[in-house]
Amino acid sequence: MQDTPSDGEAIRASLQRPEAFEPVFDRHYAAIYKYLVRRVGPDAGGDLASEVFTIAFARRHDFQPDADDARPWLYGIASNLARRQARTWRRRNRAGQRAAGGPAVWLDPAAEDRIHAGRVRHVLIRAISELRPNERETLVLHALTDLSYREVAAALEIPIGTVRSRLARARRQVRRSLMEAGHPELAEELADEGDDDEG
Amino acid sequence: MRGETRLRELLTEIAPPPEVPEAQIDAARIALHAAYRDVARPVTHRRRWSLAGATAAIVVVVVAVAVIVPGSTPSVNASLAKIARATRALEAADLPAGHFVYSRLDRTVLNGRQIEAGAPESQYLLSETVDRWVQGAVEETTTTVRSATFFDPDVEAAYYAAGLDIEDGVGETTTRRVSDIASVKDITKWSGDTSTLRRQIDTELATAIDPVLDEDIRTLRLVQELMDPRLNAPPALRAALIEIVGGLDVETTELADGSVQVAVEYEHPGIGSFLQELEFDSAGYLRVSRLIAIELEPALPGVPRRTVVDEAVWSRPSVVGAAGDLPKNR
Repeated sequence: MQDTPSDGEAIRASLQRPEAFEPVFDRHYAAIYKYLVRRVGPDAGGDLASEVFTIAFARRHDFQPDADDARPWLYGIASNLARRQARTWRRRNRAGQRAAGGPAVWLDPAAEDRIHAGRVRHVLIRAISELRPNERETLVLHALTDLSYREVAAALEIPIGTVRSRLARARRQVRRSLMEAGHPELAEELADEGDDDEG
Repeated sequence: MRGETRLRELLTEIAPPPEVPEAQIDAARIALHAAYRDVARPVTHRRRWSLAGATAAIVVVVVAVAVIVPGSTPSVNASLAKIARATRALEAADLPAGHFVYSRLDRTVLNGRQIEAGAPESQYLLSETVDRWVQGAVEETTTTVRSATFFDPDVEAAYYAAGLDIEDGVGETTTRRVSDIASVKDITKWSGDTSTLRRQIDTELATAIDPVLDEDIRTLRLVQELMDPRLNAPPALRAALIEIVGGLDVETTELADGSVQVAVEYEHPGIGSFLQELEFDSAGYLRVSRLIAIELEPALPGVPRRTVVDEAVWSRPSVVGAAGDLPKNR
């Protein structure tokens, strides 16, 4: 007999008793916080991590009745919020209103100068930031979390085959950018032999 | 897989996973618990409501819906402006040291209980009257649970057969004293100047209230909280709050006795669609809040559409000399 309910059990129970949702928060808040802070910086990341759970709670009726692990669902919400935040910053940047002291958005090219890293890292960040949005989203979600391909697919609500193809294209593009920037050795390190068969 | 691993390593070097500050966890947990309370309030309540929670912030608002009351004249913000002007002209009542602010609350809320093991919760309405005496952060209350009202006679019979009326305390009166009413806001920090108050509300909304709901809804929710008679908001603040409500996208109806009803319809994601009605009397006091569940998601068995799931009727606040005293003009 389990001491604590699974995510699915907790979410289903919370339909009748809101406080039954608590184990989902206890289990996953830290991981979601870390993911979002790595994407959008500590200020916005903290706010968004909180928002993830209030949104998840409000939409708990939508949680798949046969699912048990809430991580893909929560990361899906988190990814949407991170994209929304990035759009906001991009609009602000375009309007010339870039806030001084703003968050260190390592995915946002406008914030590259805030990253205290060597040139190689700088080039890698630029390469990732220049990916197509869908490919970048998939690559980042997979790279920053412990989600499998199947779970990334569930989080982004796309077929698993699409996850594979997006990741393959994204990595190819990143390697190409690294080559062009004069870092063939790093491009080689990021090369895969054989395709991914996880999931 | 080697490239994948190397990419993770590089990203970890560039953006290492941060520590999670305890303060962040606490703040997120508080926001989540507020969401729990929002849900619990309209659809399911435990046997005894928390008075502080029950009266602090009632679920709220958006989008205009015309509500035509017989004998009333529909109008838009002019009627609220009229009340605001009249309220601003009033003098603030003194609260002598050692005195209490008294108010009465009559409240009816949809309540859910599992009557038989394994069965879904049965829904019914539970009504109570609460007399409240507040002095600073201390509150004393006397609560009488008046009645339970059912949608289904079979549920009613099963409810009484199971003795749940005793658990709900129907017909009983209880007194309690709370020495720190956490939900009561410091009313003195809110400005009676409408522009300043709007900025204060914007600041509060940026951090304090459920972001799932639209900003107009959150504004109205905070207005309700500040209008709680326990806080005994001064006339200038009441006037400013009413002017702010008048600036929202709401439908207003002037009632025959000079009160103004505000009606707004809104969606609460994952919970349903609601109609919120508020009534402000001619002296700028909030006297009625009525929450109507137009459609719940999922529907609650036995609860018809457009059921009033939460109705609160307040008296005006009065100053009395001691907890337990009633105002002389009652």
